[in-house]
Amino acid sequence: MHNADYLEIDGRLGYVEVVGDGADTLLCVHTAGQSGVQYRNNMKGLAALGYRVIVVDLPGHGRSEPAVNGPVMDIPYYADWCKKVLDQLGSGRRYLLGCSIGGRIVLEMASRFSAELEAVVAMECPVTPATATRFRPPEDSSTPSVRDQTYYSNLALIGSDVPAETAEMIATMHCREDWHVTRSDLIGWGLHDLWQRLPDISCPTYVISGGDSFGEALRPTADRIPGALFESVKGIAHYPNQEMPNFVESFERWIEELRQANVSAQGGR
Amino acid sequence: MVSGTDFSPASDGALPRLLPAITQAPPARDAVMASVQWEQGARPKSVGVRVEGVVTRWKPARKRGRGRLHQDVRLLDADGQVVETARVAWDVPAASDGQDDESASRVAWDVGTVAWGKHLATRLASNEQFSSAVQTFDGTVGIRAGEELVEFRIYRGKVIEVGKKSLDGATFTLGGTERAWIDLLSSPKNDLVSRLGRNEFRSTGNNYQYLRIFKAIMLMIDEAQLAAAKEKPSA
Repeated sequence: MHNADYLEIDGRLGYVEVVGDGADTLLCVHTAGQSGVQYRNNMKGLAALGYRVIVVDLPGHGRSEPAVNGPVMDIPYYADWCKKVLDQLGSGRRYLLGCSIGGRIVLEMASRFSAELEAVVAMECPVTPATATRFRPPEDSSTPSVRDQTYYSNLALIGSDVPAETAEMIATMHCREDWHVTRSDLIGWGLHDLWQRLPDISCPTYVISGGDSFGEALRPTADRIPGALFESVKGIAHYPNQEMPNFVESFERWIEELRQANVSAQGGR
Repeated sequence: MVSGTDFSPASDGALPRLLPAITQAPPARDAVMASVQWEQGARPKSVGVRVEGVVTRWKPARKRGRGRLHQDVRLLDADGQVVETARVAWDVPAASDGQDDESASRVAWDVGTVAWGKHLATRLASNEQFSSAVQTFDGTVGIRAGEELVEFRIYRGKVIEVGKKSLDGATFTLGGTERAWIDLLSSPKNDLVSRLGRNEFRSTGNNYQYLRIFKAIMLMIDEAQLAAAKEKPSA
């Protein structure tokens, strides 16, 4: 089964894709400014592992309508929005997967809803005590050649083992964004104050970093989450699910390792 | 020229530990040290185990009968992190740099010189992507490598002049150390953005225009890398 739908959430339509008929639910969350298209090469493979895979386009991203108040600068808002998606579509045990701000979003969800979650895999999302308090809102007049900036900056966020053709595809796909939304996401990242609440996460959690990106810098985030596992994947950078040809197999292993680790799953039935 | 030797730390651990290694292994026969700029590295308290030297500039001998050679020397720890670094200038006799006369195949690595700029501008003249990227640009791009600065006057898709200084000065300048440019030109890919993120390079001047034609800057680096790949590093 591969179904697409628009859900009404907070007065606006949000786009979701649902793949697979598994008893358990896996919610996948994309990176800043992007959309669920980032999981296009993974969703069927993940579904084949036995999940009912839900891939969202966050408000203002991809095919989702913008939030009522425009571009969102609030990671907890996104977490609440994703929780509403889960409440409408989720079944069985609930798993979360997210990358970059998507990783922050699933950690934010885990910090508040661990009792409803079976496991979380958070990728490329370091959490630090310091958070921004001031920011400059997006203005077109101050930011020329945004597409070029997006293209080149994303090429720089791709690992050394990734074939040039794949890197080109990832960077080119990123250019579809509305940079006001992207910048707002990143402001939200900077304002997100999660460090003090990381110890509240009680569901099994795996923190993944790209060895050519944050690498070991993500370990303190994992260390602060009770029982969390950590892996830095060599040769990749900021987009593990787009850069790793064996991502589905790796995800399966991460979940298996969490099952075998001594962390009590909370469920979510 | 890149050279590397094992390093035995001084017993007293005094700083700078790198200087004796520099003086014991000059980069050219009869080279005389002219100046040293020394700095602590990212890991100043780490134990250095290896010294790495890179020749970053070779100015051929002229009337004085001696040439000038620039060298970047680094003391690295077991993880390859920099403990100390030094930029050294050497006076070298003409006989030492006979292989490096003005016309030698060094120009593609001689970033920041007018000769390098003209060499690059020739390549850019047939680069349609570059021409398109600067079709609406009327200004001057400066490229600085260490103390060397060259400016490219650009108008309607073409480099119309290359020189040490344009009449109105550079709209913006992209600069880095000589070593930073050697590393960028040696890189298997154009990773300027990553290097900007590590503060190996920085832009000064009109940042809006810098961002506006950033694609053109990347294309200039692409061409500079291609030219450098055809030539061996200087010395």
